[in-house]
Amino acid sequence: MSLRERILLGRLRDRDEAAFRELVAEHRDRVFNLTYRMLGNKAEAEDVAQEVFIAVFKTLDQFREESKLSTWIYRVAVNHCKNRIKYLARRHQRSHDELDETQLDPGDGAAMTGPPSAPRRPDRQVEGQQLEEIMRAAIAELEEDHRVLVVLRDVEELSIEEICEITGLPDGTVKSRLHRARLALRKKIQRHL
Amino acid sequence: MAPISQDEPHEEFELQFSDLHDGIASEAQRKDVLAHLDTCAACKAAYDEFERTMSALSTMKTPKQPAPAEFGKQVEETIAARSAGRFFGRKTLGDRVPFGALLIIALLVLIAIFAFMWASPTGSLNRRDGAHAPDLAPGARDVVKPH
Repeated sequence: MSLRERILLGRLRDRDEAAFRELVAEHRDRVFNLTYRMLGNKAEAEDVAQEVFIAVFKTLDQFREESKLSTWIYRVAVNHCKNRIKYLARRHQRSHDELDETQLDPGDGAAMTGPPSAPRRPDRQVEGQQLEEIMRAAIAELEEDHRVLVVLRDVEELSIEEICEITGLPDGTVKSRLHRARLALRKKIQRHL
Repeated sequence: MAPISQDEPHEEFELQFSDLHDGIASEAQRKDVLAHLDTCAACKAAYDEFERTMSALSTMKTPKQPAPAEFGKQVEETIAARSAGRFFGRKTLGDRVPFGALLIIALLVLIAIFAFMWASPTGSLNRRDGAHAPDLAPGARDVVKPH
């Protein structure tokens, strides 16, 4: 951890409001980008990103300074995203169950609460915005553990070492799981490429 | 080494695609995989598709999605709302004003004034025993009573 980070951390532990503003200003874009890529929905991403900073500030005393402050913030963000993914999946499932019980068309509820699904257009030549949209939807369909690794490595461009620190997984597990995640992604976007 | 079927890539080579893409494959590993791709159509097709996926994924890298402009303010508002204003340390007047430093500065100024007055030949603090009192102006003699 750099001297600057140590000083900032000291001020944060003293509950210095200006230090908190500095922390948010420095990390907000990266945290938001991560939550957005993980959740695939801007409103959810914003909500989770806010919770991340609140959690960071509330649990500062638990930070053991064994890693960079930014790495720790990422870890908090990833954990919050995982929890939100689980919550959304449960809500999605519940809404499906309720719709099944009332024998309504399941399409309505799913569209409101479920993760975004891949566009159904059969275009094979896709570029720019459209391709990004397809990738966003494909990532949102990945399993939670796969999604984390693809986002951290291939979107956020973190090193394998940093990913190990954030996820707490050993090097070999990160590499093999990342490879499986990429293959799963390949399968999902196969028809669009 | 023959493929399992004409359309299926070899798993042992497919497993190395990520290392190859990330540039972390050893030189021997890299040569081995590339040599195999030259001779195995199924693996070559799988690798090309893998690379297309990685290329498509790179569209997510930039531009990054920035946080909304009001994000920082919203976080602070949420904190304030949840903690009823007690989240950040409420600073007393003593925390905000550096009384200690001000006291030291005041003491230094007082010492400087005292030293100046002491060094001054006309200063009342520097009256020496037996020193000749300055002559009074003629008009002043009527006012000041002699001892």
